[in-house]
Amino acid sequence: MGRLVKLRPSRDFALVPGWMMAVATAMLGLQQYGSQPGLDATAPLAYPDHVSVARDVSVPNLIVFVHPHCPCSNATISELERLVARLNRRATAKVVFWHPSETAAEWHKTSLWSRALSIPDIEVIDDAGAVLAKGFGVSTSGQALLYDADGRLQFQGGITSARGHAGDSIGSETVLSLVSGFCQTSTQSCPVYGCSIRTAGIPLSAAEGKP
Amino acid sequence: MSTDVVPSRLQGALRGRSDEILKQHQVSIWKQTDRLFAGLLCFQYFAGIAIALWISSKAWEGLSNRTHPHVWSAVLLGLLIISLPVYFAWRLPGRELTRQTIAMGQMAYSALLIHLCGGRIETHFHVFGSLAFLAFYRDRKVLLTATIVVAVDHMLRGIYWPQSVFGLAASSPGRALEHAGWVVFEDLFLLWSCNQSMVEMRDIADQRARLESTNELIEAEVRQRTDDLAISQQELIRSVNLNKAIVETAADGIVTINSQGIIQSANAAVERIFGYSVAEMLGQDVKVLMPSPFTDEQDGYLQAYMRTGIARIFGIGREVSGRRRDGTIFPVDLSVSEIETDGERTFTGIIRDISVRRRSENLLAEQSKLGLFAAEIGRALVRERGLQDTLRKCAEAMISHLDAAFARIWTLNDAEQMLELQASAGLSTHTDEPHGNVPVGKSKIGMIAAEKLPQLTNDVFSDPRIGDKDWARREGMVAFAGHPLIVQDRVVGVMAVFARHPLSDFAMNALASVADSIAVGVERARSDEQLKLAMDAAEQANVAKSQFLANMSHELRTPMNAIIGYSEMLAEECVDVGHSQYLSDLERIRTAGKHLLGLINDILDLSKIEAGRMEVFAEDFDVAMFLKDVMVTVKPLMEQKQNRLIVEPGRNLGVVHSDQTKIRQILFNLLSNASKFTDKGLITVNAERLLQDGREWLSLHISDSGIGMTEDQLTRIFDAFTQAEASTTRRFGGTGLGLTITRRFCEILGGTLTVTSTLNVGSTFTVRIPASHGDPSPTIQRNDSEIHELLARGTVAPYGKEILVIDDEPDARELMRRYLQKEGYTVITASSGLEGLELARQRSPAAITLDVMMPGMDGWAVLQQLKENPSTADIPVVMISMVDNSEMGYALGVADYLTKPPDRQRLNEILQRIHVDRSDGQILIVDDDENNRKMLVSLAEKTGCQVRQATNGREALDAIAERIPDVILLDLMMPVMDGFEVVAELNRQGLTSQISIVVLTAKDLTGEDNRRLEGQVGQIRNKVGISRDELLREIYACLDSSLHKKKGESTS
Repeated sequence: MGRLVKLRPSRDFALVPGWMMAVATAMLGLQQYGSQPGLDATAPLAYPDHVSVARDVSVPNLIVFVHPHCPCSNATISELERLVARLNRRATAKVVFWHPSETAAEWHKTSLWSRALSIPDIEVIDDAGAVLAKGFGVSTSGQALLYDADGRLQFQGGITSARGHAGDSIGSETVLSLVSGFCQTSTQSCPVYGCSIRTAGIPLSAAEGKP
Repeated sequence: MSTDVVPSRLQGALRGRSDEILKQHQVSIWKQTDRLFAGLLCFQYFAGIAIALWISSKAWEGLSNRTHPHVWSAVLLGLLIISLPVYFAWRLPGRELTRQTIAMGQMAYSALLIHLCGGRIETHFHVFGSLAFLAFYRDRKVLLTATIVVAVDHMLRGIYWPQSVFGLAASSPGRALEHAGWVVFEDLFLLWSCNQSMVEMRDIADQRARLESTNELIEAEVRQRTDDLAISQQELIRSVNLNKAIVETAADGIVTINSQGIIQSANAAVERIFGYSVAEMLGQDVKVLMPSPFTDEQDGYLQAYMRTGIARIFGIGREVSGRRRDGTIFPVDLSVSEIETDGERTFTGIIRDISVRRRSENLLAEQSKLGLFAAEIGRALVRERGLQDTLRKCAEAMISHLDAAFARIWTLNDAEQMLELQASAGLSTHTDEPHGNVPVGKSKIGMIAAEKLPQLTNDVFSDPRIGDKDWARREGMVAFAGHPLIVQDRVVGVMAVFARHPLSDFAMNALASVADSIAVGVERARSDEQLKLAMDAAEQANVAKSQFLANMSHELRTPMNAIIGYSEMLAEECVDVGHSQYLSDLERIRTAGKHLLGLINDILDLSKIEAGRMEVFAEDFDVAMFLKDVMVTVKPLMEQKQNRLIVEPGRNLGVVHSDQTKIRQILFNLLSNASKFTDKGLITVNAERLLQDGREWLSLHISDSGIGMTEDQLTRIFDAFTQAEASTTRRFGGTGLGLTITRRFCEILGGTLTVTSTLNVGSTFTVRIPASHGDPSPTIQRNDSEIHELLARGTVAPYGKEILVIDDEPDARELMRRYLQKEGYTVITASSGLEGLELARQRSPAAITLDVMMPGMDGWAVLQQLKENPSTADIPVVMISMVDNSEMGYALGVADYLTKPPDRQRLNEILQRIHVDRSDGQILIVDDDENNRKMLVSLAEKTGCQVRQATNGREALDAIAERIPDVILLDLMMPVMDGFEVVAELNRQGLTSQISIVVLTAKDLTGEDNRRLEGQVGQIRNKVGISRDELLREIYACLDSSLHKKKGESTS
């Protein structure tokens, strides 16, 4: 530092471009990390019958899987709250908190759990033993699945635009469009951003994804 | 941000100071804000870590977890972001670089924080907050940089990760505009805020500058006042000391008294003036310093003033008397002033002893009277004419200034030792009375002269020297004063006054003061008389000298003329009789005579010039003709040393009005000089007419290719009796006067003579003479062709009858020309038949000699055309040919026919037969010098005329009365009757128009002489120096003219 202090202003000025490059590069890396999606789900095209969560046959069913400790899923809960409000009960919404059997009984009751409980018109479900996650082939926190009233899979993917990034997203807009009937095409999908909800040693029903 | 962004309303030095204050203020703000951001960035850094830990402390993978990358980003990236800005803020506060780096770091940290907070919209306000904080800098560039960072961040994200900014897969212009709009909105607000802040800072700076300036002025004023006060105090102290010193050292006495007249103080001058010490005077009444009656007046003044308050003497200087300790009374000037201090009145008297001044004034008055007396005497000595008038005025001045009754002045007759009365004023003004003359040593006047001592007595009756006491008693005279008049210890006279009252020393002083002047006046008057006598004698001597010069001129030249003439005549006779062995001796005689004559002429000319008696006879003459005439004269001179002479007449030489004789002599002298120093060389005469300085000048350049001169020789060349060097005289001969006289002639004619020369190359003399001497007269301009024609023809008109020689051979032409000229004819020549015809038509010559064999047009053709032309048909033609074809010639009308080479005797006979028979001619020679007369007779007899002689004018008139001659050769200086009288008599008799008179004289004619002869005589020739040939031609010309005239008259 002492040597640097003695630098003349022109040399000080020369430090600036290097500094700018370094900051830009780091920001780029951070951005890249934030834009890295998790593993896509391998959800069944038809609402499975063997799952414990009953399907509402009168309206489409939106199911969102969440890792209770995933910081990125804070954004998912926030977006879900906005989405539910916009759906205006034209669909049922359920939040499934991953709760593997190796964990304690209260392991899933995090601040995220509390936030979800506080959202009206949402059913919060403890996926004890991670049965539902396995049943629906979900391996990434924040994964949302939309089945129509007839139990057909219409959408699978995240409802945030980046890892832990709140705000408008393609996933939310697609769900809203499907529920509103503006879109009648086949199953839609989007990248999902969140922590892995896959327990080590448990075989996946879908391809490996990065955390 | 520059201080110029908001200009100061101040001007000059105040504006500079305001700018300086503003700059200091800005730098201070920048440094403070740098420190603020250094802290803020550090705070944000730790806050960012805390937020990262709070929001996303861990990243989960199933049941396992690890520290979330956001935490590492907050730690590492955050540190990276704040490191450089904080470093700059610490090390380089206030710099532009620092705040720009801070702006970039702050906005980068906003981006990081937004990311760490999951893109919550709330975190976007960090951007706005950052911009607001950056506005603390009051620097628009900082806001610009921050805005650019935000814009770049949004742009890159919008392109590559639009969902991270706008939540959409693709960039949305609407959202981009929305974001940009918010930023721009805030930027505008902040920029306005910055600007307002700068305006306020500028106002503050202006006010501070004004305040500082005002403070400086006030401080300077205070310092000045303080300094002035100190100086005033010093001045006051100095003034007090000075006044004290003045009072103590004053020449005037200063005394202060109280209202009772008691002396309170006195200075040293009072001690000196009155003789009392200060200690003695203090406490005394001031009257001790006054004599009566001033002591009583003093009491009266004081009492009256104390009673009435009316000051009679305050502030007024008046003359009173003082009394010294020794009792002497003396005049003083006294002025009194009053000072009132604490109700006590004090009077200050300033006393000046004026006794010395009074004596000086008396002396000055006496001196003034003396001055007036001396001035009047001086005026009399200067203005009055004549000794007696001058001395009478002096005597009158003595009466009026010395208050005398009687004043007289005598002058001393040295020879008789007698004092002769010259002036008398007052009681008597007569000077011719019996007692007017007084012998030296007798009576009171004579004793004064003898003793050379003044005398004063105020008791004339008891003074033994005063002889006529009865007269004095009768006239009431009581005093007498007399004073000798002495010049260089020699008495020249005596002056004396009587008075009816005693005379003081002043009277004697007055007489003494003017005695020298009057004595000098007497001496000067005597000198004037002697000078007048001497001038009269000198004038007479000058007249005698002039007469002597004239006589010498005549007497010297006359025998020289005889010597030269007879030597020439003897030479001719020796040739005729074949005694050629004497020719060389005769030539030596002639040459020596010529040389001696030249010397005499030069000396006489120089003498006349030095005496200022050289006169100028201006006349109009044609320069071209004049040049030709001179060239003919000098031609033999040129031939002697085989020099070639070239004349180059310039344009429009025309006629000039000047002294032809002197210009001829100038030119002859210079050509003679050139020929003398040039051997087988080239001599050139260049003539031109110039207009310079508003005047026309004739300029003649005489150049030679002779020996030339050195610079040293050039400086002495015009000195009298000096040639280039002594050896020159020995080698080339000459008197050394020629160039001196030549230059003097040029100067007399109003011109100059200059010379340039190069040793061994040659010299050029330049004569510059006014074309019109004295009053300008009309000048005649000849054109070039006329001038060249004149020069080409040879001899021109006035020398006698013209003969035209037509011959193509130059030698034959030249031979014929020489022969005919010798016979007295004027010759013109033509080298071809055509030219001959043209000349014959133009000039109508008396006769033509015509060569037959000529190229182009032969002689027969020329003859035929001559006879066919009425204007030339009567001109006699003599044909000259190689073959005798006389019959054909006579048939064609020739007068005669000669074969080549023509026989000269035969040709002369033919020409004489053609024209005039001179045997009937009569020539009268009038000269008192027998030698000259005989020489002229022998010359005149060559004409074949009858020649008679007369030795003076009377004999000449008798001879003329006996028979009127055709030509008279007339000398001027003769006994019995001179030549002037002869001309006058002939004019009276009306014979001057019938007779050709040739004046031959050795006299230097004056202007008056010329006027007496003008119009009465045909030619005036100086018989000294004229050659026999020249004179013979003159005689022929006059003779033919006269005979023709006679022939014409008899025919008619």
